[in-house]
Amino acid sequence: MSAEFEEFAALWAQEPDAEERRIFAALARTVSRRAKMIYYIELGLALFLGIGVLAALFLDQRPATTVLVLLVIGATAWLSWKRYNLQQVAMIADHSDRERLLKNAIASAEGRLRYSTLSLQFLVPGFFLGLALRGTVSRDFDFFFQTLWDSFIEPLTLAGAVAVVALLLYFGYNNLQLRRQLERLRVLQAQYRQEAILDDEQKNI
Amino acid sequence: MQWAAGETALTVERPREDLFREVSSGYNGLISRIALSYEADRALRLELIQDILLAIWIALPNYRGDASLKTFVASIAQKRSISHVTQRAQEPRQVELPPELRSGTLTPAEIALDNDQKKQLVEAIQHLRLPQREAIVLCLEGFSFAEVAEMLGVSTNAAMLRCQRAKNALKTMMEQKS
Repeated sequence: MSAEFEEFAALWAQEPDAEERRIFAALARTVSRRAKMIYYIELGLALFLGIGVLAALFLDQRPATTVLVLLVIGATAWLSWKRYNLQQVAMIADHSDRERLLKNAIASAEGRLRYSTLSLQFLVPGFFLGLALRGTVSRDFDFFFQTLWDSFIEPLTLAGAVAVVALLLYFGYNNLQLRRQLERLRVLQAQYRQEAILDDEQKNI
Repeated sequence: MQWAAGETALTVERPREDLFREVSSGYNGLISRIALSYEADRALRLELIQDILLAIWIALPNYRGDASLKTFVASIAQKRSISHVTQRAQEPRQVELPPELRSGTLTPAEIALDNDQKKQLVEAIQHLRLPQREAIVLCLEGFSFAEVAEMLGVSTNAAMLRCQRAKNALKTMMEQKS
């Protein structure tokens, strides 16, 4: 490339100073420690679960317990395998194909947005439906609204209402973030496509 | 990583740790600069560097040595940075650089000039469109067009064209700034 590029490269490739290197080394130590800690916690939990199910099998030898234990072992093994695969896919696969990378990211963001929107839509009706069902079961239907009001001023219901508001705020914020993320991903996808078109056009010149 | 007969989880952890140490000591500049090209805010950049290091730690058992370790690290750093850009709600554009970028034998005036030019270059890179940004950063890091092409999943010719377009855009922005 040109001398100009060499100049840019020389400016760009300056190594970080001692302070930056120290911070970087500290971050690397934290990452390695945290990753190892997670590994040992998972190993410990797996051992705990294994000992627990084997003890249950030993102490209670009914066929139903055996079936349950086998189901727990099967489900744990399957979940661990799925988790491992997902981790590998997320970190390694498609690392060079930006189109596929963005497509997967868009599909994933859309899925999370659907879940978040559904949660937002059903949270309040679900809460009132729960209250109404409680009222119709415990009292006469003629006093439906009175029952609803009575339920609503109970401390437990009020605490539930506060939790619903908190969840609404959380899902609302989450929804907004996901919409922005999706927008960014689509802009990025368009940029990559435009770039590919430019590559083709210039190749043919 | 395939476990040989008699090997346990603890014995296969060792090479990963060695490799990780090599990455964190040998490629700190590469990772920091890639993070800098995507994140202007210092606190968020440190978070991004940590995320990149974690991604590398997780991916290291899959490193087979087909490509150089530098290529492997740069590839993961680029991919993780793209995710970071798309997940962030806001993208701050203030550039914060260390007070002294170079401490060698330059005079204070030369250091100031150099730092100013580097600041301009970083700002210009951060303003490039992402497909061009990742191509030019890899070129500036000294990767060949073939290596850049492999990392970006495009042909060598396309990688070269992208670097060329990015370089022209950089040049225009630098001229406008100065």
